[in-house]
Amino acid sequence: MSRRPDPTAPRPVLRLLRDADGPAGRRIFAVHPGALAASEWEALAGRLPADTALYLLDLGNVPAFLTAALDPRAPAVPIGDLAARCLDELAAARIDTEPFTLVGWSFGGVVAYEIAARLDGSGRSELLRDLVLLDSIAPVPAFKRTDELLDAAMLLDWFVMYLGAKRRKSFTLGIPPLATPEDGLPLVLDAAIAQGLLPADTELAGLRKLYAAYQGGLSRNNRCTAPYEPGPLERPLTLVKPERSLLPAEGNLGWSGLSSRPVRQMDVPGDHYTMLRDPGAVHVLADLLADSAVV
Amino acid sequence: MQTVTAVEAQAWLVEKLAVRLGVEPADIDADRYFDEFDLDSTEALILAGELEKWLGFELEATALWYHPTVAALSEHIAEESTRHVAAA
Repeated sequence: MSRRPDPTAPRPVLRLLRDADGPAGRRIFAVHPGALAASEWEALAGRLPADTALYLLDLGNVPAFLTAALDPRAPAVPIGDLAARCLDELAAARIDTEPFTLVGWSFGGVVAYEIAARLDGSGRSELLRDLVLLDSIAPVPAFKRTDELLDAAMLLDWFVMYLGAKRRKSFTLGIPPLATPEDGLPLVLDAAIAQGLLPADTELAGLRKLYAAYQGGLSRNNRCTAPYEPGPLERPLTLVKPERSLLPAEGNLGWSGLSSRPVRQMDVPGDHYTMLRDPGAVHVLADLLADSAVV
Repeated sequence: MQTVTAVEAQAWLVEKLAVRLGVEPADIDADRYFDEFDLDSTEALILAGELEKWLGFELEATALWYHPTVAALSEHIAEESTRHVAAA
């Protein structure tokens, strides 16, 4: 029997995804929400200027956060705790003394916002050059949803996007109105098999398990966000919004309520889950981060 | 609900893995760790869902952590199956 790493061993929350070629002229810290692999950032990493160091803060490797997705009875993790953990990681690595840009993807943007709030609140606002949010939904009352209030067809449409991203194939499916997302899973299964995303013998029970895991992560994020009630920041926010955003019709996704400045919105191709792979989106994002992160 | 033996569970897992991986059942090493098979997380979850349907009960989320090979998981399934049938 071959040796393998202990799967229960802690995995690093902070890791260097791309080192600068020589002294770092730019530092970017990316908050990764954990739904997809951390390798999603690699295309962007490859497009950044040579003097850029890109670090990943992977929330999926915070044990309590992971457990809260697997077990709906497990307590939600306060946003403040996640932000504090990220700041502790940066301090322990001694990389929080030079200016940097923060970028948060999806739920990672909410944690990035709280990190910014903590820096601003502790007199360290000059450290943060820019705060960039990748299709994150603002933690404001008008945009918070309990599981019961999420539209079933919308949730299933998100799952279709997610499945396409996981299988690395284009996946399109019109979702009719549904009572529950699970009611539409037979449609998703048929289309996924027809479009070559899943083997022909895949059973509905298998797809149900995958959906349950996906929904568990979403529900965990909503539970973590529900009690979080931040005030606005005195700093500009940049929202990068893909063509197939989680909420395409919802403008800047509520972020104008959390900044005293106008929200800068940049529209890019791709969808919520593929936006770090889409060449057009990566090009825009790399230019944006290169400009914002200059030390 | 009928009790599933370790032999039956192992046969089911080996056949499913062989089909997913496009190999012969004889090529599936029951003592190899699951994460050493060329199976991504999506495929693993789908397989778990199909397994639970066949068993008629859900396995705990940590089952694969504590029983990380076909052989070990099959033994665990047999124990759980006996427990579920007894409780039914």
